Amino acid sequence: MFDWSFFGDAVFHPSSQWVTGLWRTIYISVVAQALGVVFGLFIALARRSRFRLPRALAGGYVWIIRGTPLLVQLVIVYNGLAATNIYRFQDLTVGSISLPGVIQAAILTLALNETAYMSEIIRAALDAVDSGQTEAAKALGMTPAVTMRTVLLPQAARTVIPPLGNEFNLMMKSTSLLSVIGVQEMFLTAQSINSATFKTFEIFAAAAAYYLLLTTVWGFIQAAIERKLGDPGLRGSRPSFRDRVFGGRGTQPGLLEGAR
Amino acid sequence: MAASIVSSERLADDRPVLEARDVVKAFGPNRVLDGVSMTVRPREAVVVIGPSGSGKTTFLRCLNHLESIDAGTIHVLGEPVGYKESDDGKLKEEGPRTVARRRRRIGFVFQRFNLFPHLSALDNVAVPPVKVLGVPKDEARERARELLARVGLADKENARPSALSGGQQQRVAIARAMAMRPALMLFDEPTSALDPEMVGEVVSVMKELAEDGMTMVVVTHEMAFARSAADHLVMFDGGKIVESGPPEQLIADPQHARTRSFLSMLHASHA
Repeated sequence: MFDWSFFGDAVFHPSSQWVTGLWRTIYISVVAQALGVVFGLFIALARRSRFRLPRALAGGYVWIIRGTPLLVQLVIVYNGLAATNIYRFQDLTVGSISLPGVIQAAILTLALNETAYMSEIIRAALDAVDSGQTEAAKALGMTPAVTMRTVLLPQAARTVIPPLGNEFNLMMKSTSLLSVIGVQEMFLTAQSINSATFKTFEIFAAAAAYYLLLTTVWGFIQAAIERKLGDPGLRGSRPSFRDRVFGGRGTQPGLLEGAR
Repeated sequence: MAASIVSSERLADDRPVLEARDVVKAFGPNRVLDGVSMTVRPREAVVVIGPSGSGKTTFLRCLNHLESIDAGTIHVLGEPVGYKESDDGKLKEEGPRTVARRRRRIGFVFQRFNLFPHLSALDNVAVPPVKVLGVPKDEARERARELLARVGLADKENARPSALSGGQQQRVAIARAMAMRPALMLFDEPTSALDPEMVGEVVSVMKELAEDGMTMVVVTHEMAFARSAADHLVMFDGGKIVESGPPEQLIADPQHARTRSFLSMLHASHA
């Protein structure tokens, strides 16, 4: 039988170990995603370079990263590099903050993985900007760098936000894979509670509830960002949070109204 | 009338603003431009007409290197655009930064406006001089306001392009090009994407510019504009200039059969 009181306890009176695991899940996701966006931008720019070498290197990077499982990448970066004595992640202490080696490896791998996906999202968003925009920028004497900063990126940013939100949602759930290299995040905490109590269903249901909480809160934040960044003329057409979670209206008249 | 918005600093002498010689441009086996030459002196307005596919838009785009050329030379204010001559006399394309610098003195107005949709009308006009010429922000905004007022859009400075009509967008686009204080303005069929009732407002802005002494090359079929504002009318056909001259003469007494048939066709469609 499902032990409701154990489940309720796990959800509403989490142990300090659980809270620490939750916090790790959050900050690892946020830092890895942020790095993924920044690196992804550079890879996207490299793929649009007029020189062949950066194009080829960036293309190769995306090919390898997207073509291999994150779980394998994690084990290679943390265990593989250490086993061959190439690199061993050391604990790092800066001031009062200490960052264990395994978490550095976790953040780095998640970020490098995310970079490949973000670069494709950013590249597609840049390609989607009307070619007349680049021509207008050229005709005004803008250099490629100025064109990128003042004309292309601001317009691409709007297109990037919805898939970026998706990526971050996936990222938070991907952190559960970090348990295999021994990061004490939420999933590994649940596992250790499980091996002590054998309340398998209850404790993993509690973990699921927490992941759902994280992604739900993020859903609110994403909707707010999209509203803020949206074209004022299209504002009415942005899906509300309710539409996003429980399925949208069958038709979205606002989208047609806003179309040019 | 308000003070002239055309900068006069570069018009001191009479050397050509634009000098194109024997420009050749091919797309594959198709010679779109087959040896086109044109000289435009300060304060001159040249109107280019011709059937579609005659190469007139391609020629205009070559003038600020939005298209590459295969042979010939293009000089604006005495400087080559897009190319430098290498030691063996061949044309060598310049890097994007040098090309960008050359383009600063050449304004370009597109058929489809190409305003920046994420910026207000004011910022469309004010941002390029800040980013490209390093003009201080306040100065650029002040001049942008003047220019918007000149094209009759003083009350629209906060509007995004999506909230403007086609005619209004094109007037903002003209103001945007003028904000760079160009020595030469190029107009690529500026009224052909507009609803008929909006053509007039754009043509009158262009007319004012011509009267103010702006040097310009205009690809258009607005013969009323050609007649009243152009110093030269140039007829393109098959990638060549088949005929050119003062507009009233060319319209009244075209020498070339192609010009005659093209003008009568234009006349018929506007009647």
